[in-house]
Amino acid sequence: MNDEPTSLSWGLTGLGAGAGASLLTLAPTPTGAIAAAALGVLGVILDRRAAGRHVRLRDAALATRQAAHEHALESLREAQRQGLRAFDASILPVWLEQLDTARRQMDSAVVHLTREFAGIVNRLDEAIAESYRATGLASGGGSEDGLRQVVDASERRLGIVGNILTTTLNDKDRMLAESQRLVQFTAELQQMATDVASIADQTNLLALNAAIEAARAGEAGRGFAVVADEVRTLSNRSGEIGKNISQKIEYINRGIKESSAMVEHAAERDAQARTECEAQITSVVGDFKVAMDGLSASASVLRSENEGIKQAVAAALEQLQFQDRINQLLMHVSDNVIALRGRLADGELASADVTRLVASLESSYTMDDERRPITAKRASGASASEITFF
Amino acid sequence: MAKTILVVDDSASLRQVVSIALKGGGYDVIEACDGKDALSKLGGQKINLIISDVNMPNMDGITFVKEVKQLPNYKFTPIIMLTTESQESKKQEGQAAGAKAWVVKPFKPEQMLAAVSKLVLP
Repeated sequence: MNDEPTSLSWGLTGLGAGAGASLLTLAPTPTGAIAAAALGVLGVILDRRAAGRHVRLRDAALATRQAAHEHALESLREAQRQGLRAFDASILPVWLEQLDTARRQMDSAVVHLTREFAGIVNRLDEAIAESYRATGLASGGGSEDGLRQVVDASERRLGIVGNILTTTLNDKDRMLAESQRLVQFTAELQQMATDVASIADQTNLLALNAAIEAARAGEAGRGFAVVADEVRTLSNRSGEIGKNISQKIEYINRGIKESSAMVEHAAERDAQARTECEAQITSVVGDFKVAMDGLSASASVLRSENEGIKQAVAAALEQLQFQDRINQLLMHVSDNVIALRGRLADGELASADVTRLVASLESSYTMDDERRPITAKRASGASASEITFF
Repeated sequence: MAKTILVVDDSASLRQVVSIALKGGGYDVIEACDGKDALSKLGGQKINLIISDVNMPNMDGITFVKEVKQLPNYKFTPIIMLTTESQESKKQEGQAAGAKAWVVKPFKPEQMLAAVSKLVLP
C-alpha cells in the first residue's frame, strides 16, 4: 500500500520524460531540447504534488481505521471486563462451593469408612478372643497348649482308672494264689485225718488183743479188761472224729475250689474288662487328640488369617490417609480461588497478579506431591512414610 | 494400666486412623481437633505422649508445642509431629519448638508404633 504513491509518482515522471523524448525526436533542435526538459521537470513536479495528496488521503484513512480499531478494542476490553466480573460473580463461587462440598463429602465418607473399618477390626478381635475362650486356647500369641494340656490331663486321669482296675485284678490274682495254697493245706489235713483214723483202728485192734489177754488172765486180768474196753471206746471215738474231720476237710476243700473257680472266672472277666476299658480309653483319648488336632489346625488357620488381616488393616490405615492429603490440596486450591476473586472483582487481571497468585499458591504447599512437577507426581505417587527423630 | 496418648489433628478421619493404630498397640487415646482444643483437654491428667499435626486452624501444631512446653505438668511429655509437611526448614521449626520426632504422612502403623514405643513415657 505504501508503494502506491511512489509508483504513481514514477508514472507521471515517466510520462513527462516520455513526452520530452518524443518532442526531441520530432524537433531535434536546442529549443526542442529545452521544451523536452521542461516537459520532464513538469512531470516531476506534477508527480510530487500527486504523491503529497495521496499521502494525506492515506493518513486520513489510516486515522479513521485506527479509531475504529481502538473502538473495537475498547469494546472487546469492556466485554472482557464484563466476562471477568461475570466469572467472578457466577463461576468462582460455584467452584468454591463445589470444592467445599467435595471436601465435606469426602471427609464425611472417609470418617464413616474409617469408623466402619474400626468396627470390623474390633468385631474380628472379639470373634478371635471368643474362639480362644471357647476352645480353651491361650489368647494372644498363645498356642493350642491349653487344649493339649487338657487332653493330656484327661489321658493321665483315665490312665489312673486303668491302673485301679489293674490293681484290683492283681488283688484277685493274689487271692486266687492264696486259695490254691489253702487247697494244698486241706490235702495235708486230709492226710492227717486219715492217719488219725488209721491210728484209731490200730488202737482198737490193740485194745481188742488186750481184752483177749485180760480174759485169759482170769480174775487177775479183770481190771485190765476194763482198761482195754475203755481204750477201745476211745479208739472208736477217735476213728469217728477222724472221719468227721475228713468230711469237714472235704467240704472246705470243695468250698475253696468253688471259690477259686469263681475268683478265677471273675479275674478273667476283670482282665477282659480292663483290656476293653484300656481300649476305650485309648479310643476316647485318640478321638480327643484328633478333635484337638482339628481345633489346633483351625486355630492355626485363624491365627494366620488374623495376621493377614492385621497386615491388610495396616495397609488400609496407610491408604486411608489419602483423604488428609487431598483435603489439603483442595484447601490450597480454595484459598487460591478466593485470592483470585479479589483480583477479578475489579475486572482486571494483570500478568503480575497471576505471578503473585502462583507464588502465593506455591508458598502454601506442604507436600512434595504439590511441589513436584505433574509428570514426576504421576511417576512417583505419594511418598513413603518418613520418620525423623530429633 | 494402659498408657494414654493425646492425638491432635483437624482431620477427623486421620484422628480415627491414628487412634485405630494406637489402640491396636494397646494405648488409650484422647482426641483433639486443634491446638486450642488439645490444651483444653490436657486438664492435668497423665499424658504419656502427644502426637500433633502441624497445619491446623485456631492454633497450629508448632504454637501448640511451644505452649505445651510452658506447662509444668507437660514440659517433659514427648511430642511427635505428624504432618504432610516434609520441608527441612519446617522440621527445624518443630525441633526448635521442642518436638521429639517428625513423621511425614502417610505413615505406616507399625513404624508409628515403633516411634511411639521408643518415646512414650513410662
